[in-house]
Amino acid sequence: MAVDTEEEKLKNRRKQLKDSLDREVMRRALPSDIFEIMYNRDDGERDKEHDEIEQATEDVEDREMKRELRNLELEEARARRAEREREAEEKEKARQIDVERAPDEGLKDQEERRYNASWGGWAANKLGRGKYQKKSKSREEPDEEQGEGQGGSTFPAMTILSNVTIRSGTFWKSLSFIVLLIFIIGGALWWFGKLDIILKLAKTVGPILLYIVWIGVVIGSLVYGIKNFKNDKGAAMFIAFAFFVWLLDRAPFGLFSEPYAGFYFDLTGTLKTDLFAIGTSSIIIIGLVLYSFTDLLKGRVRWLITAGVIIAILRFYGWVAQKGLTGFAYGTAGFVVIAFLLGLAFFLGKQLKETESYLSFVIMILVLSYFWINFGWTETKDGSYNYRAVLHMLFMISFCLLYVRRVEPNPIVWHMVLPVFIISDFFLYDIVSESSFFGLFPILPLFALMVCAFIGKSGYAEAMLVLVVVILISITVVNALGNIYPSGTAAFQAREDGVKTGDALSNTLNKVTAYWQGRLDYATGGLYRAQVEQNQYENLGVYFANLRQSEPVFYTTEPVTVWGTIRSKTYQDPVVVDVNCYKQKDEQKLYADRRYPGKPFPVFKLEENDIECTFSPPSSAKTQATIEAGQNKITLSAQYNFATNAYKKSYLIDRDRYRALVREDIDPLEEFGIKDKEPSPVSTNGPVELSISVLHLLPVSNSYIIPPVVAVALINRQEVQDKDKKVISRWEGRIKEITELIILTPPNVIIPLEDCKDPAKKCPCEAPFIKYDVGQCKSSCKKYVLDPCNSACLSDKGCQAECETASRNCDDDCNNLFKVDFGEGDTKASYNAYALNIEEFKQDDRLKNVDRNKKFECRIFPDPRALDNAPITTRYFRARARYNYTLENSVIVDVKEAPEEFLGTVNPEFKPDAAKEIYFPGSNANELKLSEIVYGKARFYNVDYLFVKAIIQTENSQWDSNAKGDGGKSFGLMQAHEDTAAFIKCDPKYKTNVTLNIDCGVRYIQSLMNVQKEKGLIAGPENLAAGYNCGEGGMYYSKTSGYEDKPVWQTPNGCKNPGNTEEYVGRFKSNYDKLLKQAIT
Amino acid sequence: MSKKNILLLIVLSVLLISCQFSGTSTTGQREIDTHIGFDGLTAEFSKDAPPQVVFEESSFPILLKVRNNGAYDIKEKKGTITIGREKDYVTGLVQATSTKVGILSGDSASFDVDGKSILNPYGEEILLQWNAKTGKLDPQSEIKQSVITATLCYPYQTILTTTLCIDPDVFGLRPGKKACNVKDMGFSSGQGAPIAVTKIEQQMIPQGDSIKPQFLIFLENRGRGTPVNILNYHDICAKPFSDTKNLWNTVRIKAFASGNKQLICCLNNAEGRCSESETQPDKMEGLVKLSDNKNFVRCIFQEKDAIPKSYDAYTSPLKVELTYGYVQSISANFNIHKPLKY
Repeated sequence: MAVDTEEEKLKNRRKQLKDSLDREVMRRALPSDIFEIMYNRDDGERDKEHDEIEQATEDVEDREMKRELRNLELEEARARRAEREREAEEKEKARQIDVERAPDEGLKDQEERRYNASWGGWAANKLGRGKYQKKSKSREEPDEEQGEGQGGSTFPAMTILSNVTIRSGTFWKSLSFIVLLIFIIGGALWWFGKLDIILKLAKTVGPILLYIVWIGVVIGSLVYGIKNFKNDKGAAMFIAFAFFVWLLDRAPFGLFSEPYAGFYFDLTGTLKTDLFAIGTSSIIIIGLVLYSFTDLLKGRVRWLITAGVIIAILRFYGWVAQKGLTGFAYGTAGFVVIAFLLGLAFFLGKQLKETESYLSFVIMILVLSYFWINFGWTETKDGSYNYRAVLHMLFMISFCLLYVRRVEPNPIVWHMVLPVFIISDFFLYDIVSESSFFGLFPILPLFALMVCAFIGKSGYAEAMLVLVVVILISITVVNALGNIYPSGTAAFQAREDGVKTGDALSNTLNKVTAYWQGRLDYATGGLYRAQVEQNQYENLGVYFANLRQSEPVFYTTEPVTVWGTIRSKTYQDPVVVDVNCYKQKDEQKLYADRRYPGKPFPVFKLEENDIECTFSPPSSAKTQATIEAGQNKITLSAQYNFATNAYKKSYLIDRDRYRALVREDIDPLEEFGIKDKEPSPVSTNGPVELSISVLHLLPVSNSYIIPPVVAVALINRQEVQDKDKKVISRWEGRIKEITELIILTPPNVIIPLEDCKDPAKKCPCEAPFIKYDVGQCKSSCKKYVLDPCNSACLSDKGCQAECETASRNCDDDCNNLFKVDFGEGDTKASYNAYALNIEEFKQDDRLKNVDRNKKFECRIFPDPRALDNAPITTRYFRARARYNYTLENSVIVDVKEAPEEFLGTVNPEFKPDAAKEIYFPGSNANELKLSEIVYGKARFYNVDYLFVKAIIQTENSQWDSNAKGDGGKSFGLMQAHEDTAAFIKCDPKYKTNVTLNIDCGVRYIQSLMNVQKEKGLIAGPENLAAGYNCGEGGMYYSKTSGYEDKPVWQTPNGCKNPGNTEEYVGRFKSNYDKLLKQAIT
Repeated sequence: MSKKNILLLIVLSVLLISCQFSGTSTTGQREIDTHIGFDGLTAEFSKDAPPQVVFEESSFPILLKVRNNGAYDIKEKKGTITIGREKDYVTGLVQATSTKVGILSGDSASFDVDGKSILNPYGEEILLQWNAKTGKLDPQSEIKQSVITATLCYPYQTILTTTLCIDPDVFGLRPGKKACNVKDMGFSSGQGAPIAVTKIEQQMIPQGDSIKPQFLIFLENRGRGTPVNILNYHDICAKPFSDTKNLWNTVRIKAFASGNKQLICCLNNAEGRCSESETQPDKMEGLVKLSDNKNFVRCIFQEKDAIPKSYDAYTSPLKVELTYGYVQSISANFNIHKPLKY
């Protein structure tokens, strides 16, 4: 316990010492008066503290240092006292001088006041020619009226205020005087009972005078501004601009619909605005970058780095937001603000003043970004262009950039003036809208005038400001007094129908949503929207793509193969596609010998399939030679079934109602709010366009002298365009056969087909139509959807299940096709359907091979029951067509005559097309597997495939791709020697890669063939095979006497191993013959 | 004067002036003139009802805001609103009721809405709500734009009260100062209704020893709809429609001078002629057909009310009543999407 008490004492003592030391440090750091306020201690206590400090310093053995410190304090205290005494003396001297000069100054001031109070003096002062007018102070000179404001404040707003130099003298005195004068004159008139005359006069001629003055001010200011541009720094010109804008805002004589009145201020909408969108808009990015580069030009990089960091953070967060990993709005705003403050904190303390400037710049571009993102202010309520708001914005930006920025060296001023200006101009009307005075309050010109007068120190602006304020007060007084009269004539209309910010913000929010949606699309690849939007302009149906020949050049000895991709897309019925190829020769179509796929195949939704057609070479053609040397046009055709739906909107109106409106020259559609006055027929996508034609506005009555017509046309499209009318796909094709055509009319709009049976009546349709119902619709689903689909599926269960699903969907569509409404009394009535009677066309070709268009017309009889209980009834006419379509695309194939030397290596009876399938008797698995590669390489290098196979068989009868020979110097399937490989520059990997090995060997054979031809050496495969074994030199004519007509390899010791080569050639010949024998047979 | 004082002065001056003329002064309430402006009813669909995007076979709300910005009260459910829809795609419509709204049929409703008054200077606003259901899109379609229209048919009245000058000294021969002078009067601010009296031209027609003042009253349709005959306005929104003459652009007018003397306004009979000898009040009512949204009507004093020439000029009140039906429509587009099936 005792120990605890001792420890407690020591701890307390230590704490006291620490506090004393802290206090002493503060005493040194702070001025004495502040220190006194903070610590509020009397001298005794302070001395006591000092003693304790002394004691403490003794304890810590720092007594010497403390003593020096105390001496220093004493010296400082003496110096401060001396300074205070000197200042007091100077003040006293100044006061005595003032007292002595007082009489003279008083007289001068009196004379100046008298001069300024006179009209002449006032006007001269306004124009800068006043007798007592002081020269305007330069910016560098401290302004007495500003007090200590200049540069004294570190907060931006205070800085601005400190820079706004209000000349309290002439302006306010003049204004007060004129207002007083008005009241005095008004009072006198009232006293003498003449006020009503003046007021009536004012009401009659006042507006005209006002507009004259207005226009005069615009022109006068412009002239004055041009003449005094240097002195005035453009203030008068901007005033002219402001008055012009104001004139347009309050355009007289109903020139424009309503006076401009800014926008309603919707605090909730503003708070809901996507702050992240504002923070990441292009304006922000551009602003930050521009500021940074301006700074960079001064040789500093700090703001560039800051901007980079901010942009990077914003972009990163944008990416995170797009990924859906985080929330939005306020959280985002907080994040952005924190990130921004962190960036600023990096420089705080060092460049405080520049930070302010940067901060004010950021505030300015944030405000601009808000209006950039929320672009609704450019539209009026009715959606037209709000050019007056745009003009306002242009004025404000140009005014701040070109004027305020020039006259005010401190950038913070114009950084802050612009946002305040924009917000005031757009929203101040709304905030004070209930006031009659503010109903006339011209925010834009007043703001501009005040800035020019107080910041730009323009005398002209001051004069104009007085003029405007006087006129405004006069008008307000006249209007207020005029309320006792019933007449509503007024110079201005109070704000009533200005553009509502509600609407503007609605547009804004939509734009923000669209903007955000656009970002999501960009990030997600438009998973959802892309499919929906692209349907209208994409290829629905079956189309060819990438048609090409398998080889750049074909020879007459080779089969000609054409490849392509067939793309199929459908949203409704499955499509059964049958692909074929042919070459048109005279009037005859010569079909390919082989095609793949060889039978019709079904397509559900979206599929791509590669197709292939092969024509045999003339030498092997069994009947007529299809392919000939020269240009051959090969046509790929795809026949498929497809369905196209269409609808056309029509407005039904009671005929009497229609006539009543037309009599009055009233457009019925306009009257009843219909914007889509000429609705276009809409056809679903596909190779055929199904168009419906019927009157946009269909008068309905009980009887018709000339009934209206509904026409349906099938139009072969042959190309698909995107929204910019750019062709995205083009094809050749035709409707091979129309298999079904249905016209559906709305309930109580009928086609009286029974009239066709009555010879006395006219049949309403020119082509044979029959009634059609849901049952028939479902039957056609089976006939045109299920049966062909199952047929194409063969025995594939999965495919058949898909066919069943498609058939069910088709049945559902039938149910929906006829429905109008669900359980609403008479609206239960279904569509009337009429089908083209296909059977009637079986005997002719009228529905076949339609390469342009086919049109059908019927007269319709809308019954008044078709009308809803509304002035205008919107109904749809529908049509559906099923048809078989033949799509064709062509490719030109170049075929050359086969070279003779190539032919010389093989037997004339050889069948190249069959060679691929030739194998050695009892061939092993390796041969079966590798022959495809050998075949490809032989074709590629134009070398006899069978020759290559015979060489391989001779070199490597097991077709072992890993074999080594010649003491490990020959490698792989073709046993290419490493020296030979190096000579013909084979890929070094040929030793282990079988394809490269075959490539190397075939290339060597090709080079030997070239030598054989170029040097005129002995022809035939034997000499070539010997060359492969012995080397190129073995193929040459021997120079040995008696052997001149033989090749070297047949000369004794011609090759290194002459016996081996002969034996080799023998084996090769045997192998080659085996293959040839198969080829010939 | 210091800088702070000047700023303070500006703020105080502005506040003082705004208070003085804004009617918020504590010294008294300024009388609100409700008979001003050119609006009758204004209607707008709510921003999100119908929503911009709906899906097939789903429900969605339709909310219509109707505000009476004029000075006339629509009572006894005389206002009618009809919703037009594309029944192929908007298959069901169920209306919600309220005290101000009654159901006429599935797509039609009747309503009351009071105009501006001293107690309610902004006019009454009512909300009409329907729940709609979308149908199924065509098999090959993924999106369909549909439209909802709303047509309002309602009775309305314009009342103008002004002061005119009756001066029997037509040629200005009488010496001395006159109490008033005959001159044209313009009314550019409207009377709180879509049809406005824009101008009154006065003429003093001598007739023996007396004069018959004559007024040419100029009317203009400044609203966003079309006037119809008050007797048949309901037909426009309803079915069946009966075509009658003088249905569209027809306004009935009555005028009264001092002492509630009704003026004879022409044309005033079924044949389209003017009978200046009418004595029955209902036949003194004029029928104005607007052409290009404007026209004028002539109103004259009755024979018995002719002013002796010996009278001095005097001012007299004039009250003009225009009665008409009014029809206006608005529409809203929305997209019906087919949900994607993967």
